[in-house]
Amino acid sequence: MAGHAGPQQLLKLARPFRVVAFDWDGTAVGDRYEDATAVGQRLERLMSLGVAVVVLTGGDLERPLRQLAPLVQGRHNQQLFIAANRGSEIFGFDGGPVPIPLWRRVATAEEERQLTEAADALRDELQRRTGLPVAVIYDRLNRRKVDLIPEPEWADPPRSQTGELLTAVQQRLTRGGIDGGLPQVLSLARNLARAKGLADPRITTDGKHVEIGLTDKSDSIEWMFEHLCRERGIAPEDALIGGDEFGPIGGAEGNDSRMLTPHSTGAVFVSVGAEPGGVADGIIHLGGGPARFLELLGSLGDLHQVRLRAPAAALELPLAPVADAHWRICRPGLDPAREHEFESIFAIANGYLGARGSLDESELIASSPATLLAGIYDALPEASAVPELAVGPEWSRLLLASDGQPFAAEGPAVLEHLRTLDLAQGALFREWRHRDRDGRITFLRAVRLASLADRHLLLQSLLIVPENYSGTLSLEAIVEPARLMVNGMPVPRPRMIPAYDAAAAERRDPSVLVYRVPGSGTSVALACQSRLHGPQGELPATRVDRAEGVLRERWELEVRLGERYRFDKLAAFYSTRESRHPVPESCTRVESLRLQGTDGVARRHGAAWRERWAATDITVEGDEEAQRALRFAAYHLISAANPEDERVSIGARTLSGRAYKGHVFWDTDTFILPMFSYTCPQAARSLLMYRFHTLPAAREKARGQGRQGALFAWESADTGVETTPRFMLAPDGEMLRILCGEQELHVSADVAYAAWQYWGATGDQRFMAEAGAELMLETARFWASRAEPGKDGRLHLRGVIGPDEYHETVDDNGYTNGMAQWNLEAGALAAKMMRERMPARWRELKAKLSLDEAEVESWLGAAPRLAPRIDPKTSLIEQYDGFFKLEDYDLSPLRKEGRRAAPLDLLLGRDKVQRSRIVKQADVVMLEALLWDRLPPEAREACFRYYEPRTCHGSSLSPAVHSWVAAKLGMMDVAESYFRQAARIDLSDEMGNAAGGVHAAAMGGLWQAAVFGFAGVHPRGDGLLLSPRLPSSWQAMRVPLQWRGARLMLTMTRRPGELSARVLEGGPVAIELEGVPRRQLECGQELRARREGEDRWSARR
Amino acid sequence: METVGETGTTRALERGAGHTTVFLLLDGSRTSAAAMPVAHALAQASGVALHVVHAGDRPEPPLELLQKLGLSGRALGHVVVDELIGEPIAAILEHVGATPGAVIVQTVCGEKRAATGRAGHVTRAVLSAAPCPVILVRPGTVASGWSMRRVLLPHDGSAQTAAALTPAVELAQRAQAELLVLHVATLAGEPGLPVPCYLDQPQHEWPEWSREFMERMDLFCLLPQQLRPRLFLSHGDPGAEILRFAAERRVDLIGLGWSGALVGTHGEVVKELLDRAPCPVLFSRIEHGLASAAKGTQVLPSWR
Repeated sequence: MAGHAGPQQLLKLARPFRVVAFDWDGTAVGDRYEDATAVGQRLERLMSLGVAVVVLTGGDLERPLRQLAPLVQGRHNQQLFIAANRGSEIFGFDGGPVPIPLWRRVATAEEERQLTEAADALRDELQRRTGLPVAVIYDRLNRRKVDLIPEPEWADPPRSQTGELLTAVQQRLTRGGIDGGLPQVLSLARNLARAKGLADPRITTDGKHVEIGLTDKSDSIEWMFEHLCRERGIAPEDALIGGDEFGPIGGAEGNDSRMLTPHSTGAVFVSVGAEPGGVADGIIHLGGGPARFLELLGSLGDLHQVRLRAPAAALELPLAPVADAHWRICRPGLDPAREHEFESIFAIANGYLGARGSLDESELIASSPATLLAGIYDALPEASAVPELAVGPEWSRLLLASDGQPFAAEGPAVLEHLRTLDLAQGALFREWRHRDRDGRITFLRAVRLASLADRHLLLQSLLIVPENYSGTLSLEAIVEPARLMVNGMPVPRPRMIPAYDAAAAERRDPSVLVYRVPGSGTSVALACQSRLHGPQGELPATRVDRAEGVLRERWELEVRLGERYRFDKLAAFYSTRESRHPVPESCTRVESLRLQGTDGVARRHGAAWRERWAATDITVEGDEEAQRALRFAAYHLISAANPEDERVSIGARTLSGRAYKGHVFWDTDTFILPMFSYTCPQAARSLLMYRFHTLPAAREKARGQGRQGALFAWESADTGVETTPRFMLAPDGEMLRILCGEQELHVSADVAYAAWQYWGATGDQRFMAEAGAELMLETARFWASRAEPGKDGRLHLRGVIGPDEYHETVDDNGYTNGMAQWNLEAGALAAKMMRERMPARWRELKAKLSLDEAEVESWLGAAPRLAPRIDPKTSLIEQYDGFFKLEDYDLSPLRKEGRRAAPLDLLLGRDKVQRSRIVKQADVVMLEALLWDRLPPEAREACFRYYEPRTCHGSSLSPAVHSWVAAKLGMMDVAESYFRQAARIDLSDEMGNAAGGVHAAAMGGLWQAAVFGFAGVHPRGDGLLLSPRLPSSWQAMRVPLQWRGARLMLTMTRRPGELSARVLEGGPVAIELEGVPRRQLECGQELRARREGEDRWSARR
Repeated sequence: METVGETGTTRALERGAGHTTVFLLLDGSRTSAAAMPVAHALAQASGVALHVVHAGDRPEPPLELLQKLGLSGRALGHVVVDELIGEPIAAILEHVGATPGAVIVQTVCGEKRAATGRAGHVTRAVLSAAPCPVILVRPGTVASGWSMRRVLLPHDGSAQTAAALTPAVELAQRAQAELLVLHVATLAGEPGLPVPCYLDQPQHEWPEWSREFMERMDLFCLLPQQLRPRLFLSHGDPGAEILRFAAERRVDLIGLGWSGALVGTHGEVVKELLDRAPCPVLFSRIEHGLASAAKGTQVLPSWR
């Protein structure tokens, strides 16, 4: 039967809907036995075009699954969702054929009882009134079915006989004295259900049965809007909801009318049913049954084809986002309150420069864009100001307008918005649709990247498609200095200011802009080349305006509906930090790319990322969150390091934000650098060389404290001079002295440890000769001069701050003493190694440092006198002298509330915390992590069990270290819990913590927890000891590593517990497991082993 | 407690364009007239006449009513008397509900409860059902000539609360009052932007957090820059901390966003302020459906 849709209504269906939800039986297929191949093909096409498909069925999953079997095979099935059991379950797919339960309504025992009682009561009442048999079907999820006509001829009526069925039921009820027919029975069912205690019974009917349930189709539709649509940023008007029973049937409300829910307002509803009782306003009645629905799906596919899959020759972006969801971080919609966090999370960088993930075309009120160049610092004019990263020019601003109406960055004009960080390719994608006041809709897709192949380059590309109009479109590409005002208010921050350069002023295509950093004298040149292409080729700019530091390029073009336009910009930054002639160099760089264009830049960038990932990517099976977090962490760390520049390091918040002023802490040496030592040694070397180049400042700091050797700055910028602010206005209003810059000495040992670890992992003798040995010797010398002899015959480090910064000016902090002891011994060992292997260099060093053998010998004498004391009874190391005398404080109530991290110095007050055994972050536990072999096993466990419950993790550095140590101790539940906590530091809303940039140390800690903790990688001698233990949710893990020039791949599975170590390149590599003799693996060789016990392995052939 | 620092996260805005109608609710008692200085000052700052509302079973001649309340002389200037007949609460709500830009001013209690100072049922009913901001004045806390020089805005950091503080900010702007924002950190999990979980280095984290806090607040209630809003941070019991701060700083008005419920942390704070506030309190409802606020909070994170 044809429907009654008018032309206006039909026009509503000519829209590229992004989600299609429909009733399966009667709408998509005629009955349960029908071949669904045709509908399956159309649905598959839609899914391949990015349309989400939600199938609703009153029955269980099996039937639609069987009919849709071919659909659920490919990766497109990630777009498929099946809502089964009349709204009680939702299933999705992840590329495989097995449905994944996403949501289920679980009935309580009480509800189950109430359902049964209500159905029984209805049956009894109907039987009493009519004298006819009525049956109850109990075995349905969250519902009971009451069969009104349990007769053999009506056992399984096909959909086509619905009319006859209704007549038969109606007659049967009327004959039995129920004149109100089906509606009366439904009302009776509702009242009985409520009487039995069900507050919100869902009463439905298919004509034959009356169902009393806890859910109905409205639950499926609400789930769809609240989860699927919200996560993907799909507006209700982009949802098509199909059915065949919206209107009344036999006087009762049609089942599909339940799909009209509060959240579905605005969605387009269509019925292909006969609808003899008509349909409500707003529902488009097409009629025609499943055949018509099939046509509708086909038309929708065509619409999407036009929009998204233009012919191959059509313009596309130079890079397409990675398909695998495990490589993507997505954020649909706009959330002004959290915009600063997202700008950090979606930042792009390459170690030379970084750009926050702000919206290019935005005047977004909450936006805080920044382009940062590593190593370029300046200080505000205030006397107390310390150097901080200077903010560079905004290079990618865009202004768009359709027929003179400027595009808005937020509000109702933005129909959809999705930001995707493509971790695999190191690129930020955006996709959004804009509707102007007159209804002109423009589809936009953009990509931005900071080239990893050529670190001076930034690329911006934007695809523009007028969806429903032809007319004038204007685009203005702007470069300008960092704004003085953000959010309408002045922002005190050092920035690069415009400068005049005669040579630059004359340059055209590329245009060059010059900036300077007032305090440092650094000059920065930015060369830009922009292109706009339409279907007929390149379109010249209609106007170009230049001023000092400002470039505005404007295009006015007549666009046509459905055609594609692409804007590309290449920007090259050079500064006097690395170039004597930044202006010509930046120009030459851009000009040299003329042939390869943006596509070539994108290709080389993609290849560079692939290479880095091949050496870095840890894969995890069984834990998607962990997988994504590890990749997210590696992405930001790779983005932060520049292996080609040994004069810069990585700031605490990388180049993703201005927080921490770009200052370098022990975070880099202790938390970040190890990943590079094992995956990109050149990057680790550069980070250590930064420390080497800042040795003069470290020596000066030691001298300033009346000591010898090198004391590295707690906070360091470009020169290595101490940049820790000396005072802080505390949140409770108190002006506080910041003592870290004077007392947190352990950073010197941390630098030495990182150098030693790098040398151990790489065997880089040249580094040791040129820089490493000097670092080891000068830091050891510092500790020897800093330690004070006590009456007890021991040496003491008094007035220090350990990693637990809640307790300041303490004596003999366990971590500091332990690391100092190690540093003294390692310094002596370095001297011995140099003496034996590189005698000439050793002589040079001794002369340069005025070092004699006796001094080195004295370090070996001093070291044991500094060692942290282990209580023979308890096996505990006291965190510092007097710690055990402090009040204890029970943190368990906090943890019961699920608050695993808290700044307790604020919440309890500084005095209280200082008087208590509350630990801010891993301190003694940190010592365990780094010097595992030096502590007896009983001390490792005792210390962890003692300190872990007393640690409030007020620092983001803490959870990952606890995960790492817990894993080594075999406390896997604890390890997994802390791993998850560390993984979420930036990827969940941790109270705005990420607004100023991502937490690089936590990310490095996450890698260490995975590799040193779960994979159990432990350097021993010239090889690696492996003792893997995977968390319960991890089925398998693959870890690529580099060891002394060799590349190897470790693969481990949890059940069965198996391990494989294969040398892919170079070698030999010595591998050792408990129970398996040490083996030297040559290139191509593999060691396979099976777990025989907690820590026992046996070799396998 | 001293100043944390001026974040200055504001932008110049044109405010006050919307019309405000100030309703002073009186029950015929002199106690209820104690709110007069506040209502009068607000009406004056807004440049509008003050509406004195009296609801009861039978009308009273306006002049007699005002005299009975002890209102005479200057107090009678620019006053409009709205006599409402019928059940008082329903009549008041209907009358006020029909007026855009309404602000209700009343005392916490009437004559009957003057001794205890506890809120009566009319107060509670108006507070929970009023479609507009309500300013409650505890008798004895304001003197004639009251003016608004310093406004305290306790803020939990959520977008909804920030949006709900808009009426208080607007009134403060009209009076050119100083704005003091107070966040009381608690151990419990909270919405919005409470103190961060991690404070790696406080010398960096606190200035960043303060700036972020004020910028987020500014997004939803548009803090006027010329009022130099300042952020203060405290810890402990929120109600007690707000009262302590208000007393120490000699605050003239507390603006409080309120969910409408008297349970939970917010509810406890409301009860405490009703009983002990040293100055008038402006209650404005947190509208979870507020478009601007929803933009910031309705979308759940999804890392798919």
